Amino acid sequence: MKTSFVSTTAIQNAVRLTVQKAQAEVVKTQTELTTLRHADVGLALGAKTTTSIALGRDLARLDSILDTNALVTQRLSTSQSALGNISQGAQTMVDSLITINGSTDKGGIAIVTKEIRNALDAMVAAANLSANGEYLFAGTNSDVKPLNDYASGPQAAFQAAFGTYLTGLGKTSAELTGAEMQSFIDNEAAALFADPQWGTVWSDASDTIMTSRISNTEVVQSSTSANATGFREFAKAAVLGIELLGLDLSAEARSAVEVASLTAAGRAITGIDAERAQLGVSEARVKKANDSLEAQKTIVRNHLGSLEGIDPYEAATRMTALQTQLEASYSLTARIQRLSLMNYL
Amino acid sequence: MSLSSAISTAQQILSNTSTQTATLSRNIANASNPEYSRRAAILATSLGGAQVVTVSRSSDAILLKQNFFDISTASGQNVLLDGMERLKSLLGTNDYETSPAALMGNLRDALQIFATKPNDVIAAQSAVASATDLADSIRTSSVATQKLRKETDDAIAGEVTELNRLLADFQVSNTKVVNGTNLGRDVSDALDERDSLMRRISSIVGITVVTRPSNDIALYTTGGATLFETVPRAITFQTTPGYSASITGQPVLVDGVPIEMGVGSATTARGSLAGLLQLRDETTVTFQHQLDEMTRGLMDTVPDLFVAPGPVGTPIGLIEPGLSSSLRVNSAYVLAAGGDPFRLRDGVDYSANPTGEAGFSGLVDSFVTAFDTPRAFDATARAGEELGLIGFAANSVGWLEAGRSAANLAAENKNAAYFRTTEALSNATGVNLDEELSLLLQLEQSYQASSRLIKAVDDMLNSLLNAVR
Repeated sequence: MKTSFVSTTAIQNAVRLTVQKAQAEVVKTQTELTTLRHADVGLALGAKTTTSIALGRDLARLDSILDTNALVTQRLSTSQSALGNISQGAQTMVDSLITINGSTDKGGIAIVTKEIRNALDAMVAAANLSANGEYLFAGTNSDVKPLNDYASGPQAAFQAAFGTYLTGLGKTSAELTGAEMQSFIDNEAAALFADPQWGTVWSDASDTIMTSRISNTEVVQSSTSANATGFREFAKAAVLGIELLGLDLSAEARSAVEVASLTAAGRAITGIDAERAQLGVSEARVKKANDSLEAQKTIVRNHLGSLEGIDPYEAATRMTALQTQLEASYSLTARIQRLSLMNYL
Repeated sequence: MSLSSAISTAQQILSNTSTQTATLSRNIANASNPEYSRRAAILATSLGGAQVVTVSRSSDAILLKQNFFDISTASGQNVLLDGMERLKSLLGTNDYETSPAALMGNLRDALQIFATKPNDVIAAQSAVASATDLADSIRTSSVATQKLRKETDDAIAGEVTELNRLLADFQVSNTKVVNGTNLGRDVSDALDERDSLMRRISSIVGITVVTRPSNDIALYTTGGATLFETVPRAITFQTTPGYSASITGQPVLVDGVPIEMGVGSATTARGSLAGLLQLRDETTVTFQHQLDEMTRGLMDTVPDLFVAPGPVGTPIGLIEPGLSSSLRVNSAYVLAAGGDPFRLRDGVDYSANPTGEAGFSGLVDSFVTAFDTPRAFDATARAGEELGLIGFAANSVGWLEAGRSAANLAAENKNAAYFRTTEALSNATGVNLDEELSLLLQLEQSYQASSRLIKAVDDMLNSLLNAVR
C-alpha cells in the first residue's frame, strides 16, 4: 500500500522547470534592457511582423529620398545661382547697348563690343557649369558640355552666314540698307539660333530636362536646358552686337542691329528669369516634400518604436522579480536537498 | 509443541522481513530512476492461514495514458518549432537584414539614388550590387529550404528505423510480461521496461494502448493503424535522394496506412513523425512557394536585370516551382563580368535611351515605383494575392513569424503539460526515500522482535532442559 503522494524525483525536479523558465526569461529581459526592443521581435509580434518590416522599409525609403533630395536641392541652388549670373550678364549687356544707342563713336563701340563679348563668354561658362560630375544645363545629356565656346564654331558660322548674305546681294556691309539688314537679322541670323542650326552650331544639350523623384508621389524638374529661349536670345543679342556693331554700317542698318540686339537681350532676361522661377517652384516643392518626409519619418519611427519597443521600466521590474524568484528557487532547492530522514536516524 | 510452533512463526517473520527488506532496498536503489515504479511488499494471509508477502507494483493507467499523450504532442510541436526556427535563421536576426523584404527595400533605395544621379557609374554599380545581394539571398534561401526538406526526410527515415527497433524490443518485453503473468511470476521489471518503451514510441508517433487479458498490450497509432498486435507491424518509408521545389516526399506507412501530417502552427501533430511530415510537406513547401513568387515578381518588376535559367513559361499569377533556386543577376549588367551597369538606365538593349543621354532617369524611376505597384500572386503562397512586391515579401516574413510565434507558445504549453503529467505520474508511482526509510525502521523493529522471540523460546527450552538434566 502506497501512502506517500510525492516521490523523491518529483521533489527534486519540482523547481527545475521554474528555474529553467526563469533563466531563459532573464537572458531575454537582459537583451531587451540593452536594446530596448523585443528580444525576439518575430516571436513577440507574430503576424504583426509584417507591419514592423513594412515600417522599417518605409523608414529606410524616407531616409533615402531625403538623401537624394539633398542632391536635388544642391543641383537646384547651383543652377539658380548660375542663372542669376546669366541674368545679370544680360542686364549688363542691355545697359551697354543703351549707352551706344545711335552713336557712331568707334572707340565707345569697341569697348561695348568687348563688354558684350565678355558677357557672352561668362554666359557660356555659366551654362557649362558642372556639379557632382554632371553638366547642370545639358538637360538629360548631362555628361556632355552643353554650349560651345563662341570662338570655336559659332563665330565662324555667323561670319559665314553674313558673308554669304552679302555675296548674295553683291554688296559690302556698308552698302546694306536698313531693310536688308533687318531681313538678314530676321532670317539668316535668326536661323542660327533656332533648331536645327542651334543644335549643330551652339549646343549639345538635350531638350529633355532632368526630373527627380522627391517623394513617393512627386517628380519635379531638377535642372534646365541650355536650349531654353533665354540662352538662345542671350547668344543672339551678344553675337549681333559683337559681329555687326563694329562694322561700318548705314544709320538705318545700325539702328536695325541695335534694336534687334536690345530686343533679344530683353527677351534673354525674361527667358532666364522664367527658368529661374521654374526652378524656384521645384526648390519650394523639394522643401515642402522634405518637411513632409521628416514628419512622416517621425510618425513612422514612433509607430515602429511602439510596435517593437519595450517599456524599460517594466523590463527592469521584471528583471528584479526574476532575480528574486531565481534566488528563492535556488535556496529552496538547497533546502530540499538537505531535507532527508537520513539526517535524523 | 506450541513452543516449536512459536519458533516457526518467528522464522516466518524473519523470512517475510527479509523479503520486504529486499524490496525496500530495490526501491531505494531506484529512487532516482524515473522509469521505475515503486514495488510494495505487502503481508497477506494465504488461504492456508499462512502469512505471506506479495510484491505489487504501483501504477496509474490514466496518468500513464495522459503522459503518452503529452509526450507525443510536445515532441511533434518541438520538431515543428525547430524547423521554423531554421527557416527564420535564413531571414537574419531581429532586423531581418537578410530577408528578401529588407534587401528589396535596399535595391529600391539604391535605384532611387541612381535615378537622381543617372550619370554616376558608382550609383549604377551599387544598384546592381544591391540586386546581386537580393538575388543571392533568395537563391540561397531557396536552396537552404530544399536542404531543410532533405534533412527532414533523413530525420523521418531515422525515426522510422528507431520506431521499428522499439517495436521489436516491445515484442520481447510484451512476451515476457504475458508469459510471466500466465505463470504467476513477478513481472514488475518487464512492466517497467514495457512502459519505458511505450514512452519512447509515443515520442515518435501518438499511440492508443489497448490492454488485453494476461496483461497483453496492443498498440495503435492515433490514426487507427496497427503498430503492434502480438507481433510488430512494419513501418515503411522510402527516402527521397534529393529535393527540389517540384519533388514531393514519400509517405510513412504504418502497416500500409500513411501517417497523417500535423495541421496548423500549434500543430495537431502527435509524435515527431507527424511534425516532421508537416515540416517537409507543408511549412517548407509554402515558404518555397513564396520565394518562387517573389522571384517571378522581381523578374516582372525590374525586367531583364534578373535571370532565372530554370523552367519558365507559367502564366502570371501562378507559381513557377523552383524558379527561385536559379535566380541570378544578368551578367550583362555586372561590370566585373564585363557587363554594363548603365543598362539599368538605358534598358538591356539600350532601346529606352537610344542616344545614351547621361541624365535619363525615366526607366530607373519606373523601376522604383514598380516595387509598390500591385501585382497578382498565387494564392497558394499564402502571402496575399494582389499587392506590391515589397508588401508580398513583408507578408512572407509575417507568415513565418506568425507561425513561429504560435508554435513557440504551443511548445511552451505542451512542454509544461508534459512536465506536469510526468511529475504527477512520478508522484503516483515513484519512490519516496523518507517513506522507504521509515518502513525500514518498522522492519528493523519487527526483525528485532522476532529475534527476541526466538531467544525467549530458546531460553524457555533451555530452562526446561536444565530442569530435567
